[in-house]
Amino acid sequence: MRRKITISFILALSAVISASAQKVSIKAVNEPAARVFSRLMNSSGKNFIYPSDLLRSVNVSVSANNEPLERVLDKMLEKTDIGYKIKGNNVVLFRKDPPKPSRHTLSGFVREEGSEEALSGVTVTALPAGVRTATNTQGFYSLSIPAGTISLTFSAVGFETKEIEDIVLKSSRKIDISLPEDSRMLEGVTVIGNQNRDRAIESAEIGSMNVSRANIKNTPVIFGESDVIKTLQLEPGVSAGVEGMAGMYVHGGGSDENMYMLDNIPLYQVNHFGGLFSAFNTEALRNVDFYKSSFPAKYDGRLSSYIDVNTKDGSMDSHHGGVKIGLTSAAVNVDGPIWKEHTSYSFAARRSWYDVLTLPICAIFNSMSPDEKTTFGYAFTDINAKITHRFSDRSRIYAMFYYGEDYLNVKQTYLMASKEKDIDKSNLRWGNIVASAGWNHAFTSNLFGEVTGAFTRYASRLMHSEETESEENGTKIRTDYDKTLSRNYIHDWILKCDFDWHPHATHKITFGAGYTHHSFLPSRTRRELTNGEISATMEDHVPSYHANEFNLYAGGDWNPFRRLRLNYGLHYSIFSIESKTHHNLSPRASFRFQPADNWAIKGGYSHTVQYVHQLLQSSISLPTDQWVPVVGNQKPQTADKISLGAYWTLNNRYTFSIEGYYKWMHNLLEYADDYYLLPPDQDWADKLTAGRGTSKGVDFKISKDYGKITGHIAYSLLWANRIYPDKNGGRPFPARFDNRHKINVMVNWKISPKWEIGASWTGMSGNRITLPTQLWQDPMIGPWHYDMPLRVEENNYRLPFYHRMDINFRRNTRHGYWDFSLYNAYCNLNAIAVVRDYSDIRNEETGDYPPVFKKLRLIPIIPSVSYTWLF
Amino acid sequence: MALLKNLFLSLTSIFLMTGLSSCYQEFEPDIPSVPVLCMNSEITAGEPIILFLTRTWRWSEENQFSIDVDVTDAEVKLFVNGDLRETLDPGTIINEYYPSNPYPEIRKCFKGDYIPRSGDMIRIEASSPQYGDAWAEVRVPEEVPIDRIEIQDASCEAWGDTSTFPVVEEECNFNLRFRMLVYFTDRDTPGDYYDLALNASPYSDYDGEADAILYNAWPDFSGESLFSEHVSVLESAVAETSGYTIFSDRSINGKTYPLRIKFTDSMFIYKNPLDLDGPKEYGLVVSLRHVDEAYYKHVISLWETNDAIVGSLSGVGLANAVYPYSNVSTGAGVVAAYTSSKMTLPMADVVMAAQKKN
Repeated sequence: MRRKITISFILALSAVISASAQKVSIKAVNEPAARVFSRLMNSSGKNFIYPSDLLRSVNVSVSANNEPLERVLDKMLEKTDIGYKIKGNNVVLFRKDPPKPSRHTLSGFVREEGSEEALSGVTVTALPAGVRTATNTQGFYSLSIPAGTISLTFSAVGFETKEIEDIVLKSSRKIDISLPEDSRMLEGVTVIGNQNRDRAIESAEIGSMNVSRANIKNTPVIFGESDVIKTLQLEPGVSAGVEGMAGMYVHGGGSDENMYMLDNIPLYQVNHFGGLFSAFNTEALRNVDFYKSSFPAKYDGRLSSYIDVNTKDGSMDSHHGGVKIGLTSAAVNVDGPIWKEHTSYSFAARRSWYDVLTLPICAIFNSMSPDEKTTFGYAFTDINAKITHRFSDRSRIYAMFYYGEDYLNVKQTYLMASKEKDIDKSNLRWGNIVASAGWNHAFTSNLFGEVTGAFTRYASRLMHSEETESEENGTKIRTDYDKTLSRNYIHDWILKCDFDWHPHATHKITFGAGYTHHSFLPSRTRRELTNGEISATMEDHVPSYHANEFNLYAGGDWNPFRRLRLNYGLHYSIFSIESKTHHNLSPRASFRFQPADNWAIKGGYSHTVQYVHQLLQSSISLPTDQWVPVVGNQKPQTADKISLGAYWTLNNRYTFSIEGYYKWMHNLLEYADDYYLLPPDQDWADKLTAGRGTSKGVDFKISKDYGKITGHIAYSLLWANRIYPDKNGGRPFPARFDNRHKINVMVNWKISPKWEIGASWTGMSGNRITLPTQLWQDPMIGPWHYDMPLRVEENNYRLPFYHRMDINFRRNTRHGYWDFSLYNAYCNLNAIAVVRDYSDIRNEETGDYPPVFKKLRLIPIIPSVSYTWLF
Repeated sequence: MALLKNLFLSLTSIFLMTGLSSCYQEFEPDIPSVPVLCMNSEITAGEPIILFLTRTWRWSEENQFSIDVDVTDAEVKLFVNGDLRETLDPGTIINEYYPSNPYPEIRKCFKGDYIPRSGDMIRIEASSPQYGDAWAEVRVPEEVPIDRIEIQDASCEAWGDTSTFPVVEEECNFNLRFRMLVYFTDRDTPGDYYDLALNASPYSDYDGEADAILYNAWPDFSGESLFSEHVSVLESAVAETSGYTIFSDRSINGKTYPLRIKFTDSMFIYKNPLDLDGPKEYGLVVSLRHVDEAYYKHVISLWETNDAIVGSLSGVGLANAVYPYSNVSTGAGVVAAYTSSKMTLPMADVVMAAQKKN
């Protein structure tokens, strides 16, 4: 057999060689091709094979004298669309593909008219090619379009749609454009061009959305403090956690499994005041990208979701600003040009009022207690600042700074009879700093890149001291002193570069690399003790950790056919700590198939990895909730998720979506049973147990994006479970925020240019809690005596169905606007806990108040008002 | 002090959960629960074992003192160092009185004849036809003696004529301030746990007929860092920490260490004007208990579940449940062991030391 094949190959090869070497002579001037080939067949002895209609109406001219057959054929067919192929003694003639028209790249930036702020997510459509893309976070777009006369349309929510017609595209060119704010907004109409609708139908991403500042400000929230996280809580698949808190539990994940980013830089502590408010000042934001199911290759490091908060650059044209006075905080923001058309600034600051409110309480208390003086102050503050400089339309640098801190100061002085006084002081500070600088540049018309260097830090410093001070002859003497200082922090130094490359109209590629140097100090405590003449200083030996993380990613968005779109990517990461190196490859893939223009079906798979996690003891944010890396024998947390979705738009006004998912989570870290029995200075890793989790569910959403009335109805169905070897006796248990059913209805109505009303209703299955029902007898060991509840299955009880409605009225005035909001408008006191207590009704027989279980119902209707003055 | 400790949590609660108005609604959760056996015993070297065998009860069943939770039909076996030593017999004991003891004067229990010794591994197994089985195991610790007690910085303000102390003609009151250093030497082996107990002896109410009373004596344990080794900085700022005297040898393993206890403005009342022996006999009994791990963990868990932040938040649904520690197989009860070392500090010595300084 092998021999036969070898002989055939040699024969075929000799035929080709002989054919190529054959020389012919022929002469023809504009003769019918069929006739010329007939003559050529005779003179060369070759068979010419071609479809009968190929040579119809084709004339050729040729003059050859003893020239190779190939050269003769080339001459003959030079000016025709006919090609040939010599196979042995046969010459096959065929019609060549028509030449493709040349393609050119059209690129540029889309900005807001006036302020020249970059607009991300603007849909750019080129007709008649029907090519469509969206601007990136820097407002950059790039399209590869066939040469010819085209028209371009730019549309974005809140801005007038702009169309440029009769663009003659002969070569690659650049078109920058500024979109004016849509005047119809003032007339009560939300404009067409909602990028979330485009994302639903056009993109291959599942579960992604963009939230504008207007969306955030229109969402009614507690105390009227508009908040990006509380806006996202209204999305299907997002559990809010404990009522009133800025918690996020996405698709059954944990609260530390969300990557919050400020201009693409991670922010570790995203809460103020135990989680009542998020760290993001709405006035400093431009928009927010949120991903909960399929993740771009660029992102990795968290299991559940990615929230990229983009801050304002500031106007290049004129100065703007606002001052907001609310019940709980005040905020100021200002932005404008430093060098018109070239350099802009943006500054926003916010500070809470609570310390002002507690001042009179302390004063009253102190006036009533001559021997005891108390000062108490709590406040939070955050500052956002950014400077942007444009070298040219294609090149820009920026520097951004964020500072957010909570602080609690308590000082209590007890005056003793003996001229001694005990002074008890606590000073607690915790918060973030982010500083970053970047340069972004459109290197070519289809390559955009950004280089960023950043420092991000979360730190807490908790100090408590007790001292006894006496006075002798006017001199103060400190007799006893006991000071404890505890610190923890995570510092990251980051260097990264990200690129968008549009090699083809149907293909967009993103790629990049990043390096992060992490430094962790899990809580380290130092105690200074002076007791009479004895002095001692103790410091625990909690080690600090340093880790190097390297990331490399590439991903693409490919539209091979009109109705098919593919999104793919790989994110490779290395995390090196304590001479141990973890590698991880996170593949991502998703597709979109459009059975019709207004339909899309999507499916996707994503793998994510998480190397750092937060030790959380409660559902509120405490300053002791430290971020720690995987160490020792711990493995990085990973998740695999498959998603399926279907999307439909109706009249460009309504978008319907249904998304289902199944998620497997591995190496999840959680406090083990009885972890609290270990001393606080014990290595934190000893207190944890690693386990698994699964979650599955379906998210439905109907949204209306156009008209005087806009809003959405969302429903989500969720199952979330966990299993850990050292928790709940190794048995599986439901996750705390396994809210089986959740419904959100959100409506905004622009009644007139002056009045707007927004309302949201939330109804969901209650959170799960652990409710011990049995008690055991007190063994009378220890200084105090309490109830002894018997351990039960974790999260064994579901709180009653939760529901509430929030309403917000906005009155636009000449110089600003008033916001009047009602949280929990119909005052449904939802149960947040169950406590063991005694009945309010006495048992007539025994005379006792019998023990009962009671639902603790909190948070009534909370009205709030704020005024924002705009200038 | 309590105000400070609770101020943060109270204000946080006000704002976190508004606290502007809240309400409680009585209900019965639809969760089935089955009673199990509970075993409680404090095994002390040199004293017979007494076991309180009860059943657990549903909180809403009734007040525990209104219902009979004692289990008397069980078979209780005592194993010592792996060998079955005896079966404990049901019986009663007269309850030691002290103000915070909520139990009735006569309590049902199971008693045995075996006198435990330091180092014994004690295992108790109980089997009830109605409530099933339970067991617990504990090793009786070795005695760790108190080396000595020192008094420092004693001072007093006396009411009345004290110039002839200790012979006084009528009742004499002293406001005492002093620092007490209790020296002991930890064993070389790690994993030792201790509890310090202070009792005035003989005990008397203010209105009693004792010749001397240490009255309103609230020892300040906050100066001793070992007593708060279970307290984080945040807890020390915002949670109640007083009263706990449990500690481990993590930071003092094998060392001689003085425990520091401060008394501020304690009132010592000396009544007997003639009897010189009265005040000499009256003293502060310092007990250093070398306790087993279950004892230690149980006390730590009491603080965590009731006074620490997590326990407080857990009570209002903001954190996962935390539980008192149990070493019994059913999760109900504590079978703990300790060996005490005692030393009495005569109060007269303290008063005289204070007078000398004055």
